[in-house]
Amino acid sequence: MSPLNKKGKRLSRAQVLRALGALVAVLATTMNAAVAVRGEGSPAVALRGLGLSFAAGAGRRTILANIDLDVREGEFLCIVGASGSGKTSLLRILAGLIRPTHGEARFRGQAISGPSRERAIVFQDYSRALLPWRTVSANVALGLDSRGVRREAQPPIVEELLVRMGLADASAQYPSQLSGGMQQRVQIARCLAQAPQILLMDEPFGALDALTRQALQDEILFLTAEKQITVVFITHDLEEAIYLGDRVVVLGGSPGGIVETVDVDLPRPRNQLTTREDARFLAHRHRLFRVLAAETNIGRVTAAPRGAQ
Amino acid sequence: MKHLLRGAIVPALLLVLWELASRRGTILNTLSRPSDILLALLSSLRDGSILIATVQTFEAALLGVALAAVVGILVGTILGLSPTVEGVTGPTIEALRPIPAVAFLPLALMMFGFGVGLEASIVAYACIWPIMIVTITAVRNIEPRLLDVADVMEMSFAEKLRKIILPAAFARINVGLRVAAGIALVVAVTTEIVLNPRGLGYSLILAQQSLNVALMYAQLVWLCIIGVLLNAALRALGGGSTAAWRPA
Repeated sequence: MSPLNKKGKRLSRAQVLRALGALVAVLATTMNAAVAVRGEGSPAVALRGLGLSFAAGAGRRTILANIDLDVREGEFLCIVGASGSGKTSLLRILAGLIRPTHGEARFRGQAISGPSRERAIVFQDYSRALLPWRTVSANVALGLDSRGVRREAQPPIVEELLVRMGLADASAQYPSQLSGGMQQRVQIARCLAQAPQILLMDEPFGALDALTRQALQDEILFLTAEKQITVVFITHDLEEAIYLGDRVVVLGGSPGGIVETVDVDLPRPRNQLTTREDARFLAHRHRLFRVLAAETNIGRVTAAPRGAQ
Repeated sequence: MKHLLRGAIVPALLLVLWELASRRGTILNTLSRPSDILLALLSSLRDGSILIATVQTFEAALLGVALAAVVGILVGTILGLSPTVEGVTGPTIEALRPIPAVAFLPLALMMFGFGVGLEASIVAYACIWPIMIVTITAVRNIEPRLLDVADVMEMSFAEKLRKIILPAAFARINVGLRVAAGIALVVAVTTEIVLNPRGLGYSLILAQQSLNVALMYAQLVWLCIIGVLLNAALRALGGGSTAAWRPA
């Protein structure tokens, strides 16, 4: 029996098809709207009145206080701040490795209640974050295990990631046999293997030499743009923050809070030479330097020229 | 090779002096000639008696170490992971640990009678402590960053144990096992000398009681050879499995 219309007549095939077409159109619009809402309306990360303190001796020591921050979907957000400003604590809260004592941290609308493979974290101390008894490919495979990729399906994915990260020749080596830059690449590859929705990076290039750092900066920009991964990137290097970020947030004060936010209006793709020579780049650097200098009292010493008495 | 030759000078010289002195006339009736000792060793090798005794001793020692390893690593891991459990059981462990293993010989004899069970249980008691304590320290000193990694990877406890905790602790536990294996041989032979009528310790005491001094010395020499070989084997085992990733 074919479907009947109100008048009890049989619907023609054309009518049914038209109705189906309309339904599909409505669904598509709704889905588009939903995507648009996710992209613009609701942020990937939402921090409200976030604070962190712990008992220290008789009193309490407060690390972070009153942080309100949204990270948009697909955004590359950099956080800079002097050492001790609570940058790492903030990132560990986002990773779910510690819980805030005040306020709330949400990821895609859900309160962050613990670690998740969707929120991959790249640690600064790469040599400690890698499993020294596993080869490079076995370390990367760990990320695939986390999202339940079957053992047999793993080798080609690992292989592809290693090629992407320039590690193809190192797959059978152990972390201790690699240079610092290579080890950090392994850690990044492992995080990408988790297929994260957000990548949290804690001064990942801080311990590397300038050339390696610049190479990795460009690689991470390329990879995260391609896979549209949201990034929260911590650094103490202002130029790195401006070069990478869509936005730079300065964490400062004691307890740490957001003291400045800079929207980086530099065109993408960024270029190590031209971007860094752009007048806007220098203007951002100028402004951020002044904010940080005020935080850490650095300006006073550098103001006096050498030999001046 | 060169330092091996240099190291052999003193023992060789002593043996020659010993042989010459005892040929001039008996110095002490507790001292046999090196040539007699060698002959005794060869004949007990030929009739297989010393080999059977060796197998018996090793059987008990290995069984004891294996038992101690299973219990020691298991309990050590739990105690290393949970400071609470360690706090509760720590004093008990500290009270049990100093008791000399051989003091349990009478009790073990009542429980197991003569035989391999008696010996293995005493060996296990002696070996469990170094293994357990090394495991506790090893588990407690795992790089905290690796545990962060395990958490972000959403590993279950079993996965964490298998992929992170045990491999990370392995190098140290391995050292504990080597120490325990050395202890095992000592305790096994002691048990045989004191009580258990089997193995190398018992043949040693039998040779002494029948005043076959040359055979007694032959067995001492044999124990020395076994000890050196065991040590070399354990070192080779321990080095090989972790050398690949250990920083040079």
